[in-house]
Amino acid sequence: MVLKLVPDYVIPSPVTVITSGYDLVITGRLFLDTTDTLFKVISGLIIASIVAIPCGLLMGWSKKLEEMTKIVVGVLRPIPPLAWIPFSILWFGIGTVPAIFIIFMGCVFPILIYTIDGVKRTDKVLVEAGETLGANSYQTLTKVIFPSSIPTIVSGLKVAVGIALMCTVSAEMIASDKGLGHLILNASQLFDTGATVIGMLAIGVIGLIFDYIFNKAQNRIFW
Amino acid sequence: MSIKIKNLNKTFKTHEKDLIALDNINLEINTGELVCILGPSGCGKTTLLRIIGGLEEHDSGEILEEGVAITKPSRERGFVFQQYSLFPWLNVLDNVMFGLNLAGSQKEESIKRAKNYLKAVGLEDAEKLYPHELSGGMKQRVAIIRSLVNKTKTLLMDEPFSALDMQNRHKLQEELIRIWKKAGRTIIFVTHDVDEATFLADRIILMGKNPGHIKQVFDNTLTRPRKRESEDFLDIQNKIIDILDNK
Repeated sequence: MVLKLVPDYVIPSPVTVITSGYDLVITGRLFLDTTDTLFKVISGLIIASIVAIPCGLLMGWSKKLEEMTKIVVGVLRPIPPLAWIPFSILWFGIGTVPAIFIIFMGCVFPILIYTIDGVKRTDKVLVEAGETLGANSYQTLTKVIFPSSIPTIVSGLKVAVGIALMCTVSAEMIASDKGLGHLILNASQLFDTGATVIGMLAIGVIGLIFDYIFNKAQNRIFW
Repeated sequence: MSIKIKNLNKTFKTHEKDLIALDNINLEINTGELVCILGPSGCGKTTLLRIIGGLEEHDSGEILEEGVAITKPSRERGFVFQQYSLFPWLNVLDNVMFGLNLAGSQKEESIKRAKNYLKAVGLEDAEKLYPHELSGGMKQRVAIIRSLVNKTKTLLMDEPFSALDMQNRHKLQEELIRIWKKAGRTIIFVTHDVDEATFLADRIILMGKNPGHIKQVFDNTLTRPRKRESEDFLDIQNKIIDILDNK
């Protein structure tokens, strides 16, 4: 480099980044860590959705149930997901499962809140139309309220992806031996700032891809 | 007798004062009849229709369908709303088949039945379209078909054509009469439009407001097909307006 104002371990030069990136690709580490992080993010999102969407549908629909769960949700929701790290290590040790647990804790509430909101935004006339066409309570929930809430639920998933990535990387820095968070931390401890940048870029790209997928999904939903 | 209403009362409680929406309504509607409920805004005509549909509770009195009390919505009483009420995530055909699918009807038969009904209102080419791709008139046609395909005995219609332009409104009114003649269902049609009621109904229930009550049940003796330009038509319209204005 002609202009070497700052050393590589403070701000890596493009050449350093490319070299580190090349090494990470050749050794297969980037691929392994990326797939590991992706696996955790997707698992956490799926489990959180499986829990949060049905709960949100019921809570948005039944005032009684919402009142009953209000305090529990109200107290649990503001707790930053990373505050669960000590318990996640105690309960699940080190590795994939505690990270998934942290992601779950981070994603379940935004998905829940968005789902409840989606239910409440359901046009009343659609519910009544369903009822006059013979829908019972269960059918009203599954065939009218759920589909009409999907656009709002997808918005919730978009928010959740961002949180999931944040949670994984942080969890991986503390309670993991794999994943992009571990890669970043490990590299920075070795003053390999090039690899750190590659790790950060990989997270950015994952976020971008998720956003693209959800935007595509939302564009297909045109109502 | 299809529907019988006896001493029906309904009050809406607001935080300021109680609003009497319906005051001692007595009414009988015969099977296969096309009845219009006509009155100014705030006379409780929509509330009355919603109670018949089971979408609204009443405070006192009786409301019976074939001798059985109406307490909740049923597929036997189809409802066409003033607002567009098609399910936006389903295409036209799936919207029409919604009720049949809920009832667990056989799929091929449902499709055949739905397509027949769509054809009857000239929408056979629109079955794959989604509601946002339809005009207002098409949406309401689909909404009517969606109820009729469901083997409803009574079709309740709450100002379904009020958002349409005049030409479309007239066209749909003619279509409704055609459907009514062919399908032989009871139709109760709420409107604030004297012309619409005169054109459609056998009997017109004239309502007044403060509180909502029935002023008179008017027998519309005009022969069908009705012509808006005819003197008799204008004559009947004037009579109705006089009653509504208490002259």
